[in-house]
Amino acid sequence: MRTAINVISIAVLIYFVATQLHMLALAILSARALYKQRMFERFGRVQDMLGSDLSPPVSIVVPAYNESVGIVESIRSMAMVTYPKFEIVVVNDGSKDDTLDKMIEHFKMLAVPMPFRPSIKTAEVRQVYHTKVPVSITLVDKANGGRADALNAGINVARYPYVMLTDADVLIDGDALVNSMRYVAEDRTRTVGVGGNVRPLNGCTVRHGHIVDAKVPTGWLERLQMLEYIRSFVGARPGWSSINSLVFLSGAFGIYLRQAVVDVGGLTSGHMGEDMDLSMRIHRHYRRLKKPYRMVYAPSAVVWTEVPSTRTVLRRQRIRWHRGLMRAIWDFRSSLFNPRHGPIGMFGWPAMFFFEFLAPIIEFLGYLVVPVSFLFGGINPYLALLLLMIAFLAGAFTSLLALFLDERFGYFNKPLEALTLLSLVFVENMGLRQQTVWWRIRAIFGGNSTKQWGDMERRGVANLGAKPAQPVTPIKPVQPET
Amino acid sequence: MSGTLPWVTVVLAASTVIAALSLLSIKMAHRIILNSRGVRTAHYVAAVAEMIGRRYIPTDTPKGWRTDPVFHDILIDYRRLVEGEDGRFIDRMVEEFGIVDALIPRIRRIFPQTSRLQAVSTLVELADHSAAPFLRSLLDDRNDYVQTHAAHGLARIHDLTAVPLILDLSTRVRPWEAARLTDSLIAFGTDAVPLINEWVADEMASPRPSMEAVTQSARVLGFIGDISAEPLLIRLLSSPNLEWRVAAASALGRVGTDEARTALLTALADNAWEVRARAVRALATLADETVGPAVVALLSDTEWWVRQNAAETLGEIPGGVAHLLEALDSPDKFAADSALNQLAEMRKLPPGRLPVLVRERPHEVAIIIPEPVETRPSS
Repeated sequence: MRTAINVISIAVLIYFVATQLHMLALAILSARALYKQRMFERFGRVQDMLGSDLSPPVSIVVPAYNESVGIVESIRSMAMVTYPKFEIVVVNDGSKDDTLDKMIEHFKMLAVPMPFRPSIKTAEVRQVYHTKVPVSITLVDKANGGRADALNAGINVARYPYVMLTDADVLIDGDALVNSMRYVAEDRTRTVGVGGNVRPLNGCTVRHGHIVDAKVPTGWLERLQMLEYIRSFVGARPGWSSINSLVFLSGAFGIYLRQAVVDVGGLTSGHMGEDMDLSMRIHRHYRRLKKPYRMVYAPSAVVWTEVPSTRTVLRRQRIRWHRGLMRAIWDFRSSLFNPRHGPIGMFGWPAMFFFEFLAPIIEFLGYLVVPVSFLFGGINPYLALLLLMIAFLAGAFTSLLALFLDERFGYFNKPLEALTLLSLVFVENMGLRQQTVWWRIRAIFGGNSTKQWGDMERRGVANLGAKPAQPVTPIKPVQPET
Repeated sequence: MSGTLPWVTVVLAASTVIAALSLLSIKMAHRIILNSRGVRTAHYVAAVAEMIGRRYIPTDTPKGWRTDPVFHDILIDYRRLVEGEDGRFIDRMVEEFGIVDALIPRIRRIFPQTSRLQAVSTLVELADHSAAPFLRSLLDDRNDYVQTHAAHGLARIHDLTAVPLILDLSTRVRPWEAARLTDSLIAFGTDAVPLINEWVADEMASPRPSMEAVTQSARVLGFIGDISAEPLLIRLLSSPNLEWRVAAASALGRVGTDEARTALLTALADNAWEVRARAVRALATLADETVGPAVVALLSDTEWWVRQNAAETLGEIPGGVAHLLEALDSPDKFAADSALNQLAEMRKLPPGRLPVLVRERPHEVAIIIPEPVETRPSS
């Protein structure tokens, strides 16, 4: 028994060191990529792209299921982005609330006989509407089929060569499209995907579809998620992007070459990690064709999204994410350490397997092994305390590195906000992290009870800065599986 | 291992504390810098406005002004906003303050990259003709951004001798920089067209022409829209290089002569759909009703983009709507679809033509009845 415990302890220790080294390496790569990107943004004359015909037109595809609360504000923010030519395609995925009516009423939508020949099979499209306002907005009303199906319907209707897949609960920064499409203009032949930087919207002040004051959220749960987002989108993704190993583009902001999405058959309906699935299939598609390609991350293309503010919703979200990851890990097992899949096969996907999929299992084992060792007298309390402190400090140090890199964006410089951010770094490891591990363990072993999309209480993007009105009407957008 | 762990803990704890304190300091410094920048901006805006208003340049201006990037930014903003006498007064201010002389030494390679680039980007906005030799020398700099900014600076001061240099440089850089370098030529206007024509002709004749630079040059010729570029663009339109043909097709639409129209009509039969798509869109800018029948034929093109562009062109040229209405009854389903799409987009569907998809909401059909076509009021 003691030998088994020792073996597990050493395995956990090795895993811990490997995780920290991996995060440190990513932070270094990210720092380099962010510096280069910053220089480009300041001196690369990115704005010249606006006056040039080199900027390819983009279709923004927005699936909406029971998004009545925030859809108008969100679409308004999208309509105000600065870009020479774009259209917005909103797909009402059989909403049970008045999403459709609100869109029709607010944007003066007219039913139009828009003929299109679907490149991807979807649930029945009932009607296509077009707006009378100057910005091109198309509304597709279709039978419910889930997020992926709605996006596929939007891609079918999209007219432009690049499609931006996003959500209805996001606000897009005005220059997000320019900052992301400049990667396409930079290398038209190779760029098939561009991902954006997702930040929590909770707590920010929103006026007329714009963020007028980016603030640290008021709730601790939202604050801790903000730290997670910064670690992922600022501390890791620029690094992965710099070695063309971006495993997925975020569902809240992912621009794809439309033809690439059509070629791989669109998004997989019912997949809980449809964004990862799509990105990986595109990677595999281009590897098989042996065509040079790249999927990149644009840190300054910022999109703001509502993050869960209650534990229940957060638990469902995390379980869903991990189940999506599990399925993707199984579906793309052939990519693991496959040199024919290039950097994604040798770096990106193995890292996803070891440091994302296995992380909760190993961490959970680590938590188990300590009391068991105590029970069998196989652990020196002093040594255990030291290891615990090292784990705690290493986690805090990695988060601090990400916050350093985030300084490039210049958010949260008020003294109180800075102190709150610093406290997050230390508070994170005192409960939420362990709880997330448990949720992910449940995702692996939880059976059918974890196979739901989960609910999301929408407060509407315009209301997120304020405390919820009394009472917040909970809307239950349970995305059904098809 | 038990001997090393305490040290690891101490080092990690110290690093974490140092990192936390540094982060806090940086955030505070950012805040102070931003506040200070705001205060100085307000101060300079008022000061420069007063100087322009009173046509007076004080001799005892603080020395820090001439090297302060915030002051430079304000001068640049004013220079862009005002013209004529006021603009010339700002140029005089720049000269009397000795800003260009202060910036040039900061562009030397011994300075950090950010500082150099900041100086270059300011210099190109404020420099006058006397800085032309220096700006031309920057075209040979190792840094792409410096080169691109120098090209834009030369264009701003209208130094035509730099045109061939910029074009030569665009053959040696990446596509993004080539596009930005050639963008700068647009500011030279029609004066640069003979030089660009000559350069492109030489490049086409060379055994290994630069594909990207020629493509970008054709695009720029289109932007400038000078008639003297037409023979060259027509040559490019019939070249074997696809990118050149695509760029030339777009550019010819902006030149807009009879010869351009004839060449574009020929290009409608090009084997590459990209050329057909661009050529048919370019015909829209000619606004010539005689091209209608040729464009209608493309409503049945095998490529979706070409059909869409043909429909859009018909929506824009005189008499095009009539062609679209005719195409609604075309036996070719694709042509009918394209026409239907375009007419719906233009809200010009005839009453009585029921939308194909409206089945479940008949009450909404009423609102798609086209709005009256706007007619020019008789004078």
